[in-house]
Amino acid sequence: MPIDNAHYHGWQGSLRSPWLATLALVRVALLQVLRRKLYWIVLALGLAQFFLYWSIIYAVTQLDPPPAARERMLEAFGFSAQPQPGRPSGYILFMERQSVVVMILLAFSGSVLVGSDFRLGSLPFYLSRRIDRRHYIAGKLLAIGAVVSLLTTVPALMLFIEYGMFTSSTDYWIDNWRLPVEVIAYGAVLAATLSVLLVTLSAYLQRLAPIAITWSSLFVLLPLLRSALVRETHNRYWNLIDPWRDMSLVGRLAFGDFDSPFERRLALWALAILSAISAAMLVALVRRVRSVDVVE
Amino acid sequence: MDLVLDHATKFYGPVIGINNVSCRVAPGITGLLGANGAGKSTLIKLASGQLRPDQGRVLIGRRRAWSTAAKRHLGYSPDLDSFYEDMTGREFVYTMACLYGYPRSEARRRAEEALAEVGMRERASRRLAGCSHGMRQRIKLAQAFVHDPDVLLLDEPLSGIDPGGRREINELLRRFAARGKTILLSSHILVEVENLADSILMIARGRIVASGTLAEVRGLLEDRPLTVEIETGQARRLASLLAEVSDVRSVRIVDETLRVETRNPGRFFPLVGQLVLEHNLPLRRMQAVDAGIDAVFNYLERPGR
Repeated sequence: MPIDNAHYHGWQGSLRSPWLATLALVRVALLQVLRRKLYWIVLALGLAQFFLYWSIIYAVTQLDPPPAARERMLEAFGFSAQPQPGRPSGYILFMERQSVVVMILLAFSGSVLVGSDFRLGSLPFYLSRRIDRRHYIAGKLLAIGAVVSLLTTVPALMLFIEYGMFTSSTDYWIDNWRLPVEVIAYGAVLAATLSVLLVTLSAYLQRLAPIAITWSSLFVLLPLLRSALVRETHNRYWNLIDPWRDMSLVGRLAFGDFDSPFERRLALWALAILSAISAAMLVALVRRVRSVDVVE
Repeated sequence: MDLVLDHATKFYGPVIGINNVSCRVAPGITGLLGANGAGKSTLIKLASGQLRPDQGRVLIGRRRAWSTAAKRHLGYSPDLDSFYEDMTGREFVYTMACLYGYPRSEARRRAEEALAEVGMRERASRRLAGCSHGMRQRIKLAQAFVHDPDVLLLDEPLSGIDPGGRREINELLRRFAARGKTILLSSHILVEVENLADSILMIARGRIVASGTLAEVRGLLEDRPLTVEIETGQARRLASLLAEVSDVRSVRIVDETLRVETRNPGRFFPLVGQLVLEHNLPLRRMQAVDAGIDAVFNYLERPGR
């Protein structure tokens, strides 16, 4: 087709802001994840857990026992639909269980979603558009955040909605409005922390094996080390070396109750640690993206 | 819309990428020629706003090249050959259109048009991993002009493309230039761009060593000294004939091969043909030994040539 017949014309509408344009990066990233069979296996684990809880809530609510009995039945399956003073709610516990799946999925995703851009040198494709480095970083963080939220926050909120629907009363939603807020707060902490960590690690390590090893060390070995240290030293501050524990504590800072002032103090320490690590990672990420064109 | 480099200098740590380069690339096709490592990619990256100059300015029209407003007018096809291999060509071009800020429907329409333009519409559903090098080059071109830019920067766009495909892309670029667009096309192969470009920029060691229309640059090269090897059965006879030619600087015979240094290749080659015919001399081989692009650039950057 000759170029003059190709109907090229000046764009009459208004172009979207570069920040909105980064949503294309998020879409592409999600497609990358959903196209790989290996990821579907991991996703299936997450979905299986979600459907398990979905079915439990459905079955228990359809039996229609008195509320106290209903709660006891749910607790038998390790779930609680009511706020638990001093303890995380069932929805938060569900998210923590999903975090294992998230951790495995992200360990495999970093190389594909971020590392390959640096390894193959694809950044010029992005940076010559109307987006710059800030938009690129934001797009990648959003993409990882979306993967995390789709596996944790979204299904937890769906379980909350399900419970209210099947107990045939809007009172549950109104009385327990803090539960979804807690879920969203914890989900936001998970998404923000994990996305900054993964994007930065992937930008530097680039290949699957080193990313997966470092990621697993952070999220498997550190919790194991934490439990050993706490057990041996009886010093509960060692809890702070466990990133999952830190994220959980910070999430509970939003509305969650703490069973002791020490727990609250620990949560504040966790907030300081996560903020410092995330800020350092963000600085390192910006430097990495900036230096992409510099010859060695 | 013009692309302007005004005393632009870029350092990579202690290494200088380009050195005090000033030039104006006007609408039409301009070839950017240089050997590997000469500074072509740095110049293109500065022009595409991926790098900022340490000194000087780089402007697209009146806007700084790295500004979002300038990138609206800029299309860029990098020399790299790495995409998201799982994506189809159509998705890739569509995504690039979205990154320019077009709403989905407009991005989709433009992607289809750009793919049709490069002859890839029917094959664009194929995954990039399964595309040939030529197909990937076409898709890179499609993503570069999906937003109908005023300035098109193409880094080695013809490398790896077969002659037929090269002809098609040349025609496409000419049509694009005919619409008043500015095209800067880099290559390290002179003949690749001489059939296409209206003007030439030659870069060596980070400096522009020659610029102008093709005829002007060719004129500079015609005066370039050149060493030519000639294999003939009568080397001594031809040597004596050539020794009398004023444009010949020296003649040596090495292993029955004539090694002739000429100051004016433009006149020398027809003259040899003439002598061979007039004196009925056998001619087995005639080859310029320092005609490579490196030798051309070495000559052009030599002071007081």
